[in-house]
Amino acid sequence: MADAEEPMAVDSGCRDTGDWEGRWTHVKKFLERAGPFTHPDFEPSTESLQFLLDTCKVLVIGAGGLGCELLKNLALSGFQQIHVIDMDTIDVSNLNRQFLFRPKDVGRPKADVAAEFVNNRIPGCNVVPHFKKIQDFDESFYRQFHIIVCGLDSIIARRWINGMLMSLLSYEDGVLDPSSIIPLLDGGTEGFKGNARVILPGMTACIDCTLELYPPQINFPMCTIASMPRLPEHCIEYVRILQWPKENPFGEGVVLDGDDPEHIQWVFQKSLERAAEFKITGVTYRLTQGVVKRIIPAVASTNAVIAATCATEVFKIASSAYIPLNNYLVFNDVDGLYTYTFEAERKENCSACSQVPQKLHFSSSAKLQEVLDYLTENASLQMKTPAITATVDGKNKTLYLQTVASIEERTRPNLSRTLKELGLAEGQELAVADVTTPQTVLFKLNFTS
Amino acid sequence: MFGESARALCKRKRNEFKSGSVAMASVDKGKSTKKQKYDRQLRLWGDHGQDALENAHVCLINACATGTEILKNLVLPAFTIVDGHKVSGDDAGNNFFLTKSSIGRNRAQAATELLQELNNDVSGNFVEESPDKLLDNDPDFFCRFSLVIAVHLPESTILCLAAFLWGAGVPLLVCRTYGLIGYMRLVVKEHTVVESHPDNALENLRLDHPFPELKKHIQSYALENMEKRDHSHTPWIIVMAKYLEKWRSEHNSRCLRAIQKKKLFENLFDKISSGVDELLQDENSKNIKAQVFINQVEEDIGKLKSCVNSLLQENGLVVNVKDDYIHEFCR
Repeated sequence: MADAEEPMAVDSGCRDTGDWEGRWTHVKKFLERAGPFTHPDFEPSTESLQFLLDTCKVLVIGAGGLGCELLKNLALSGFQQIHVIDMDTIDVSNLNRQFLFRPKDVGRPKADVAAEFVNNRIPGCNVVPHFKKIQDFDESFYRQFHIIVCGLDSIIARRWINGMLMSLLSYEDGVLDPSSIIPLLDGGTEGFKGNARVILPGMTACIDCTLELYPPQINFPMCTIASMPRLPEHCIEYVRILQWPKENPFGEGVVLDGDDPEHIQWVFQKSLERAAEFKITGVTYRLTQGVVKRIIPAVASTNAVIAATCATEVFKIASSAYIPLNNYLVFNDVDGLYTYTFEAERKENCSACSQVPQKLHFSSSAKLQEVLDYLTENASLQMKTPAITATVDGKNKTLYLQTVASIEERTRPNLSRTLKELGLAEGQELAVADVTTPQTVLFKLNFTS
Repeated sequence: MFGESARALCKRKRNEFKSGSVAMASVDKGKSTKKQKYDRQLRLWGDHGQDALENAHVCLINACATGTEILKNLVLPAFTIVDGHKVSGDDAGNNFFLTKSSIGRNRAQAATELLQELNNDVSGNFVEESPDKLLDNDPDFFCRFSLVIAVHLPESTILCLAAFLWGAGVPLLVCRTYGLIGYMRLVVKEHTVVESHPDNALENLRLDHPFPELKKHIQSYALENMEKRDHSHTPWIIVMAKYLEKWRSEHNSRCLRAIQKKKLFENLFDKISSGVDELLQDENSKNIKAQVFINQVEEDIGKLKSCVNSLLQENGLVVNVKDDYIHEFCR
């Protein structure tokens, strides 16, 4: 059905913001008429479009590969009150797919440039940029949004925003108040693979419920790196982990910076030497950079697919016109094209969304180090740098904290003390803070012996 | 005087050399900026893949939103848009590469401008013509393209276009979107994949018939006499080969049914994984190892199956190769 054959729809209520006749014809077809695929409870109305244009507030987290696509899609779908957060500046390597950026923009904040471009191209659209980290905002900021959609590049950040939305939920007599739910749409891509999911906090599976779905990071065993390398990657890791801290080629305490070509060049040369020692081929500058920066390949098409999926779900949820994705989509076009959708299930005792009190089972003679190891290594928790505090003898005591050097040094001896020695009692509550969650997680201590 | 002109000559030569090398340097810089810009996708398909993309020329018929989205993602190949329509208000409302000021202009031209703006490396052309006219008057026009993308074309046009392109050996991608429903169909005679970049390469070392150097290498390892440390650094394929030998000698059998193999592998894996940490950590998961194992000792049943199938077909018999082994394999 060719577009040109259709008579132009008369657009009632043109606003002064550069609108034109027919501008929202396509969007209106979704909102102003029912059909065989609409939601059973859907009532067509002319007010839906106005809601999208004037009232619905959407937050886009990330203005990179997914973010650029999301902003474009949302703006063209009628969303005009959009905020975007991104803490990064534009790099040359972004230009192959982050199409809102040009060579002249390199170095500028992504959020700013993205907002400028979209506001310019789509008249009436009001994208508000925030050149900040998501952790720089609190509940009062996030509470204002109807829907939040993420195009993040880190699992930690995903868990953080997930935790934030959980903290906004209010329960009355154990019943969840639906008006406190802010839907979270999360997209992720890596090369030719991607996924998109719909999270209704407190109702569907959350990020932490399915933590085990994420493949573990590739970390080579130290013995391989130190004495028996076989791959060019082993050589590069050797230089990065062992040689750099020993030789400090750019000065004492100067940390390896993956974005500094001189640093990479040094690592590259040393890796070649190491590789020659073991007769390993394949060390290139590009590989060196990839290993040091843990670069994930990226291409426009995958981002387009996943962002389109997410944006469609934003539209469905905001308009209540269609049944949303329930609730997890995977996409892979490495070989042909494969996609699959399933319903990820909630975890009964999820530390983020289940409200089930978390328990710790340890012998009273177990050392604090064991508890720390459990918090970081347990597949469902996967904390990064947990800080543990407890109330002992009526006073708040920091048992161990590693993110501040002076406190780390002071509390380090506690790691080799037993739980009993630290004055902890059966049934004691331990409060654990970590980058993976905006709220502290409370654990109840149960002594096994 | 001679000295002066000699000095002037030297100076001129030096300047020529300098500007020559500056020209060289800027070519190099251009190349390296490109490598930087396309770094993330170069890691997927390498330099040859990138060259193939840059040297391609894609034809898009109809610059509606679906079409321009496709071109946006491609970016690199030269493109030509064929579109006889004028931009309508509807078009400008749903297409990122059309604006209010595009309304009334030819759609191919308007879209080309904003698509070109995406990237300096891109070379875009437009033809203000309907594809029907081109097919009537100058069908050879389409022969120059690496790929033709037809969006929202009526069936009669598609059939005509497809027939012509099939004969000319040009791949055709047919796309259509309607509301929340999308459709795409790829029409290509044969596509050759060279230099694939698979995520997990399943090398087939043919462990059931190791080539002489491999056999010798396997034999050079004496697993029983190894310290745990050395054992855990032995490449897992060696361990696998050793145990396969052992199993063969114990069971005096060469032919393995797929189910037997799976069971064998599981027993094997449990037995040896207690000593071999490498197996569990290094890159590959148990499932991939299992698959490789099954592949290693598979007599080339895939080839056999297709040979039998074509033989049956040639002789006008029912292509129904049913035997226990095939069933299990397909499982």
